[in-house]
Amino acid sequence: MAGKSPKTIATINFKGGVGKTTVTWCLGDVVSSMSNAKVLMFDLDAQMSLTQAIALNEETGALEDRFGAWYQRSIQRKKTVFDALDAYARPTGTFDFGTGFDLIYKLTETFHFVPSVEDLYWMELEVFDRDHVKDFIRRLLGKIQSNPNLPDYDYVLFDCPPSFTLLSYSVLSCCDLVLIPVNGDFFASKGTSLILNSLKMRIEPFPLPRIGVFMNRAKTYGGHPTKEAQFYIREVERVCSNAAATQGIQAKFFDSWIPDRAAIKRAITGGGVPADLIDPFRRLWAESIAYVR
Amino acid sequence: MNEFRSQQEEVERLLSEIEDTKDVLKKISARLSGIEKHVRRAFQIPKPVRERKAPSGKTLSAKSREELMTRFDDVRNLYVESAPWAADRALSETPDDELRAIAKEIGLPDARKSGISQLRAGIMQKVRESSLLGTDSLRGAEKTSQPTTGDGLPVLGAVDLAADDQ
Repeated sequence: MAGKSPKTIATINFKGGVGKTTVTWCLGDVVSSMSNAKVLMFDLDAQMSLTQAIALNEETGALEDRFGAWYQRSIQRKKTVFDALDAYARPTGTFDFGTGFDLIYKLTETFHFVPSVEDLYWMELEVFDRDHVKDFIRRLLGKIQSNPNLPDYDYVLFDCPPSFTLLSYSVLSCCDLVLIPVNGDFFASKGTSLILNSLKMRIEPFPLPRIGVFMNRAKTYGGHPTKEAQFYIREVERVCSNAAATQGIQAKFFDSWIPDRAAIKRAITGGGVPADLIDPFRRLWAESIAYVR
Repeated sequence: MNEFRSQQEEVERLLSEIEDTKDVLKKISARLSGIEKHVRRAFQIPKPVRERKAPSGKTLSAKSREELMTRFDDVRNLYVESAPWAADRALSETPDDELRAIAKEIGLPDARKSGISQLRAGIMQKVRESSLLGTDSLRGAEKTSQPTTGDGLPVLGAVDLAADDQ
């Protein structure tokens, strides 16, 4: 990668099951296939949903041969994101970790992927210096950026876990945009409220990234969100503007929204982004990029 | 010369032919839908969204959606700033048609058919949700004299550890 800094976007919500993983993948797929932009996507969730969905071959239910073989090699060579963190946290003070296509998997020519590993489950039990780890993702991206054998990524996407782990802490401390999907229910809306009202004090002294909130999986009627979905859209919009005013953060509720479609469940495992969701994801992407430009 | 012996027989035959024709049309329609689905999937053509009549802004009461939602906000503010009973009283003083219209606008199911007390309970549930969304956490709702840090956590040392020894 040359000197150009990619735009970094993290998808997070403290409520699980709101569609973080699917949204991250769909955005990466839509952008990399329709604009020729080079996209790098990280799975930082120890639950490995994104990694497993990518690896799952719909025909056989087994790990896709190409990815499976690559993944095993990556683990054997100690080239996973956990190994990178381990190398970064060593007390030597130097971050001695080579980045290349043994850390990064090519989904397509323009869409690349850093998978998760089970070790991330136990990461919180390791003794890491929290303040030191905060800078890990920034440094890892720097290494990727300065590697001449890797492409110039235009965008880096992070699928974060639904909690404040060391890795999400590190991502949120350096990304350009925090994207928060919310569903039309109380608990998902509350997850958004929790992040908006507490993120700043957790991230300081780093400046807080811009925060974009949008309605995901909105129930529709006649092509419009249902009254109930509209109620939560209005509520979360209110929470956003209150947080922006009282916390002094840049939080915006997006006009774009993604309708609920059953076919989205198969998007990553082989179905692709459902045809009627391509435009909503394009609009969401356009609004996100315009916000951080 | 008519081939039917009676008018009744003729009508029955006609009805039977109509049924047969309807069956044939159904089969043709199903086959066409299958072909359309196949083509759309193969060429990634999204299914056109059937546009329904855009919301006219007309509600179950004479008030507009904005007015109804402002009324909902007023009730929530009463709940947060005064007390739950104040919000409840405000709802009980609201005319039935307006209550029904508010219930519909906030997405309560069967707003047209449900009883008024059921609607009022449903609206109060949404009022509670809305007020909780506006608070930082459940701790924010508690009244405590315990000193806290900026993020609402108890100040270390402020907890009475001696109490555990008793």
